[in-house]
Amino acid sequence: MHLVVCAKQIPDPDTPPSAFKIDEATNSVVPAPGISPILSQFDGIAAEAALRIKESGGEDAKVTVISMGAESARAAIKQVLAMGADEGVLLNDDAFEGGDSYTTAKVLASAIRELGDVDAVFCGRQAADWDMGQVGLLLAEELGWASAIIAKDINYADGNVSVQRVLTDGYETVQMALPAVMTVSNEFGEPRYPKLPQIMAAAKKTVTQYSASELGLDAAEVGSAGSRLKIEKLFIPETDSNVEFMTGDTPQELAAALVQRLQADKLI
Amino acid sequence: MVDFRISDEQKLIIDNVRRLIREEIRPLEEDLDPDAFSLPPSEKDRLVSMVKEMGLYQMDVPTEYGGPGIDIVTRTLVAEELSQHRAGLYAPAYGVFGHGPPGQLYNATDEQKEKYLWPVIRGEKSAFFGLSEPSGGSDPARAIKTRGIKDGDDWVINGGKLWNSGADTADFGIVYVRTDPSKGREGISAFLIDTETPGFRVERLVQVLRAHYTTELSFTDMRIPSQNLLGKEGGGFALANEYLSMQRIPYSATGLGVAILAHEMAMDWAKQRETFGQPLANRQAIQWMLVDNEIDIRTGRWACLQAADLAHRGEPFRFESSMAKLVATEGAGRVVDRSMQIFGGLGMSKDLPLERWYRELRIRRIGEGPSEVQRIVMARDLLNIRSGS
Ligand SMILES: Cc1cc2nc3c(=O)[nH]c(=O)nc-3n(C[C@H](O)[C@H](O)[C@H](O)COP(=O)(O)OP(=O)(O)OC[C@H]3O[C@@H](n4cnc5c(N)ncnc54)[C@H](O)[C@@H]3O)c2cc1C
Ligand SMILES: Cc1cc2nc3c(=O)[nH]c(=O)nc-3n(C[C@H](O)[C@H](O)[C@H](O)COP(=O)(O)OP(=O)(O)OC[C@H]3O[C@@H](n4cnc5c(N)ncnc54)[C@H](O)[C@@H]3O)c2cc1C
Repeated sequence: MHLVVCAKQIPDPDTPPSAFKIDEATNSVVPAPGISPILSQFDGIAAEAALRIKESGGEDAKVTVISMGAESARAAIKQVLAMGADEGVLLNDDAFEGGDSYTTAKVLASAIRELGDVDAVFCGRQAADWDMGQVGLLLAEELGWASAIIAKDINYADGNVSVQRVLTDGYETVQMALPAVMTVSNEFGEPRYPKLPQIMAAAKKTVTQYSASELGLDAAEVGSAGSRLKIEKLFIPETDSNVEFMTGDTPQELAAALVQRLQADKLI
Repeated sequence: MVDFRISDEQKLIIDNVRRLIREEIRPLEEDLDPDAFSLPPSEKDRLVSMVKEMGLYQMDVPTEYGGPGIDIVTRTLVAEELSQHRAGLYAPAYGVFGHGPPGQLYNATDEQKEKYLWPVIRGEKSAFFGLSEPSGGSDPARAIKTRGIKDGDDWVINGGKLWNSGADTADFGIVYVRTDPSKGREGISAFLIDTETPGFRVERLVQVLRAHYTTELSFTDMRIPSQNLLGKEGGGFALANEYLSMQRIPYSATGLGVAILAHEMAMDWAKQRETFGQPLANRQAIQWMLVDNEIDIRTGRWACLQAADLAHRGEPFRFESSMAKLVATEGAGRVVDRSMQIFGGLGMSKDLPLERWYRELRIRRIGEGPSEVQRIVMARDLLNIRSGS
């Protein structure tokens, strides 16, 4: 069985607000100096999900981690290799830059087809930078595979997965025949700590690199050229907070004052 | 070429330590006394298992003794992470990464290693270190009055020690004794002494600035078999090996860890707190404090990393490790002091860990070789003056 984890490297969400900058001319985020990008947290959980299936025995399973990104994304790949994945794939090409969820899914799908024998793909429920949560679904669409998103539990048996999904008002369990794409949520549990021997072994694992042309992709259909999403304006919103105290002698008076105040601002 | 960039492997190791401190240690600490220096045993056992599973237990132990084989540069970087919590300075991660044995034990005989070194590595025994006496710790070669006299196959030891951390709970100690009063340095021998030996007494617990007290010990006609002589007779101070001297480097870096955390806290606070209509961070007086914090942290880090890098390459690093100890410790003290000033009254309170670090960092300028003694060591190297006196 061949399992794939899609891993994105993102700016560290713990970047202090003072160090977070955007370039309004190009509508892009400026990397904070001295703060290394990290593996998107949900992708660490997706890796955990794939590794648990690999380790649940039964069949021989191999886990490949794929990242589309700059050379620096090798660190994110290495992190998943250190968790126990077997091989890495880096999708690096200037043509991939400036894309959207759609072009990302397109590139990832080409790489998965290139691998050939993939049975299941695990993505994070969303990337912790833009929080779009679309790549997993679009990827399933591109591949023409079944999909289940926002998983909190995944069980594999005999070519099928049963996925417990998080809904706004509870959970639902769906069954899918492989091949399939799943996105994994934080409710799934914590990703493992990479073990020292695995950390050391990760450097020796193979990481294959593909460019657009090696995947048979035309530069015009990927990256900013193929992007269907256009960012009109990127800005850091000004937040302003104000405290107002309600006055009144009794709880009833206070509540009445609060209701009036909220109604005045059309909040209720 | 000078290159202080961190490799991916180092980063993954550091990330593991950082994550454990943030996700496990700090939340537990919220429910502990502000001066606590140990975890509830069940929590400690759980975390030790986690660390063993990660392969990072007993990181400071050399590979030939079962340690995981992490180089000194990485251990220095890890030490900076390990102390980033309230008790982190004197109880980094509350010991869940293992307590390495005193470096002198690597010079022990096979028999002694069996009885003392291995049990410490396995976490079954703990040791205290008995060098300082009421007569002085900076110049122990002259100050040691504890006397050992050979009697048949035994040594009879009389005297006492002061400032021995952990001696009241330890199973044994490495104790420095004058065995030949006609000689200076060469008249001092080290012994492995079981705390159950008749004549060994903990006279009192000595309270100090930090919550973890030290002890005063007395030895009365203590009979110690010759097998417990560590190293050669008169060779107490010759018990030197690379582990022993290298260990000072990560030790120095633990001070940096708390400085880094104090500085982060102060930066956040300076941006939030408004006085006279503006955030503190807009005031040049405060900006300069924060810049000075950053300078002290970076200087300390470079000093520690340079010492570690030399040690890693197998080059001499005595001057550099003394400098690292001095610069990192004194710098960290200043950082915590400035951070407390920025926090105003809150900086004085036990709601924040700053006041604990402030007290403990003050001890660091005395313990493990006072700043003056570090300067003496550096002066000897710099001026090529004879050592050993
Ligand atoms: C909390 C704590 C824990 C400790 N734990 C242990 C332990 O576990 N085991 C142990 O053996 N010891 C321990 N010590 C002792 C510590 O190592 C000594 O306090 C230290 O070595 C200094 O010795 P001293 O206190 O006798 O000061 P002294 O040697 O009397 O020196 C006094 C002061 O004079 C300075 N000074 C000395 N000589 C010179 C000189 N030539 N030029 C300029 N200045 C000089 C010193 O730097 C110091 O500041 C501990 C101490 C403390 C506070
Ligand atoms: C043990 C203790 C007992 C106390 N007892 C009392 C008491 O009985 N009654 C009482 O009313 N209060 C008491 N206080 C409070 C004390 O007076 C305040 O802590 C003190 O006035 C500082 O205010 P703050 O803590 O709010 O700090 P802040 O006003 O927030 O100031 C924080 C830091 O920024 C500095 N700073 C502020 N403004 C500027 C500026 N414009 N430029 C440069 N630096 C600036 C300050 O000097 C300070 O170091 C006590 C405090 C302590 C620690």
